[in-house]
Amino acid sequence: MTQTQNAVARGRKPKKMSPARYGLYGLLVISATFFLTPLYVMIVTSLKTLDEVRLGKLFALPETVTFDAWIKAWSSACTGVTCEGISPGFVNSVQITVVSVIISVMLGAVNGYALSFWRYRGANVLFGILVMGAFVPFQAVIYPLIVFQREIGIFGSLAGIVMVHCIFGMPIITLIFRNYFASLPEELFKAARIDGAGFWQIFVRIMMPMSVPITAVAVILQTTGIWNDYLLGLVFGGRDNQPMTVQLNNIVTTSYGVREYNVNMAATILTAAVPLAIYFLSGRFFVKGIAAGAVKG
Amino acid sequence: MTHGVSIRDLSLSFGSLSVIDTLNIDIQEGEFLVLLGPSGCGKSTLLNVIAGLLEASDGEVWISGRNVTWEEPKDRGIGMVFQSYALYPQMTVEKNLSFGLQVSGMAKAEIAKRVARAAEVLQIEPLLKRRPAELSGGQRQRVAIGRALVRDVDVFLFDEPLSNLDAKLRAELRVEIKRLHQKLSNTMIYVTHDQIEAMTLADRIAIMKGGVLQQLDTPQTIYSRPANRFVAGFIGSPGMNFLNVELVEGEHPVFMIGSTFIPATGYSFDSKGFKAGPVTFGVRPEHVATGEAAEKLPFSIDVPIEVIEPMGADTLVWSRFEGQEFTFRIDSEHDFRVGDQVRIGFDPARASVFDPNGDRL
Repeated sequence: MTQTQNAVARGRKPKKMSPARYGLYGLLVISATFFLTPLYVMIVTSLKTLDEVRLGKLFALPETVTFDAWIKAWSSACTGVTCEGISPGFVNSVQITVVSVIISVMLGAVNGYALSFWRYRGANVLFGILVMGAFVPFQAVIYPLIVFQREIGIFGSLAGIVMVHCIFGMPIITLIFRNYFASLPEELFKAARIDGAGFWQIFVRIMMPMSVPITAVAVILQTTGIWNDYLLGLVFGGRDNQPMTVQLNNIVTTSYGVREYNVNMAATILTAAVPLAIYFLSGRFFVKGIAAGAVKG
Repeated sequence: MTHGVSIRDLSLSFGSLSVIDTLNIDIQEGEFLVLLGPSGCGKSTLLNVIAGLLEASDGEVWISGRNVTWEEPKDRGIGMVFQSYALYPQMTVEKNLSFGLQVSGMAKAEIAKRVARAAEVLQIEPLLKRRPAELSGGQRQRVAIGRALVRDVDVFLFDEPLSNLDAKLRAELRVEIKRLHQKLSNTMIYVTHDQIEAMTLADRIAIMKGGVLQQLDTPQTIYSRPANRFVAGFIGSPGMNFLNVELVEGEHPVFMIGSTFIPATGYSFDSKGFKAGPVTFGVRPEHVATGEAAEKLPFSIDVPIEVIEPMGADTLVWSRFEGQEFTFRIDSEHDFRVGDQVRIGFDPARASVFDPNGDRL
């Protein structure tokens, strides 16, 4: 039997779907459906009129498609005392995220670079402390931080919230950059020193141009992390810098009037749109960067 | 007179681990010195200390008559070539060559002149606009040498520059480095674990082991009169035969091995002199003659053939000499068979004898 089979075996082996394969694909389809169903419900609900929502047909497609809920969520839904939608929150979030991401990624990159190439006494201890910082629950240090920021007079300002994000982002960003730089050949650094370049010249002209993929990873991580943050924005943002997530919460948990589910859904999708878009647009870059950091320079 | 490079009482230790132990080497101006040794012997570490990339724990480094022990790498008047080439990947070859000059604030015209000259010397002009990723290993190493060249320095440091290349390219670049040295006549210090590179390139070889200098001499002396058993075993491929023998005093002193006597009269003992007792008798496989030629030498004996390894140019024969393993090289034209008895002979004057501590007698 096997003899005859071997006799015809030639060239590429024909692909065959085994029962295990069917099972695997089946499982994948089921889990994809499981995670996509809420998104589907959100989208169809946001396109319905409030009357249609009340019918309770959760999975039905809208009879008449209307974008009224989206417009309301963006520009006229009430977020507490004001009724300007979540567009002010969008602007706040962009401000907080852009400034925090730039500063925290730059700090992390310099930290990682110094920790992997300019080995000074106690560098390893410092790095250990920094990594431990990543495991400290930030709820535990919120109160001391509030007092500290009040004393130096930046509590409730843009500078305050940016500072908080930079502090909490530092351990992980430093870790990412340190590990990436540790994977680069040390001879490159030695060559640059022989060429006479100093701390900043080596960093800016040699190391950073080689770190584009890992910088992309850090930027994506920080952007999504800061954009999705709720607690820190609520506590440190003050009245003028409330991020989108806080305003979204105010819309959804409003305690008077009717519950406008279609508006809630639209506002939620709007808030989640930015990190979603970032993942879709840069997913490949993200994976490439992580792989580059893990395997080689 | 000033030395090109002078290492004075240099020590380096990481914590309790001593990597270099009170090392002294004087390197003449224009000399090609090779630091040779097994991995972990401290040769690369020493080069890094000379370059200023590592701090010495004790001792001094002098370059061109200046004490540079506390100076930055860029102020020492050195250029360095690394094993992994260490080219800046995002810069073109031209930028790679000019980076150091640019950092030092040199005028553009002068930079262009120097880059052009280095490119001409190394024949990399067509590559100037390319990036390192678009170059072959040999081309990359040429660029790396060029980066040292443009700096117009007194001393070149090479850290195993050919180890990443394949055998053919290595042989080519070896000759090119030698040519470069003849042309520029700079002082060059070259680290390698490859004895062929060491023998072919060096004016003098410094053999190191465990951070201690074993022997510093010309390649020929190191080959024919190794200072100790380690050096004798490290240099030469296939390795030297070591026979455990007894040195016996008398009117005609002999080395006694089993029931065989090798005359010791021809051997010129070191200043330490004659010391009767157990010694190691070393003969290089290529110094053993066979057949008629063997009869003419001061010592000859019949040995059985156990294994034959043809290598093309010659053949290596494994045999047994009074129960001890013994190899010798013969011309590949010889038609020996395993099990044959063959007459071999050698001249004790070309042998090396070591005392039980491994030092040459």
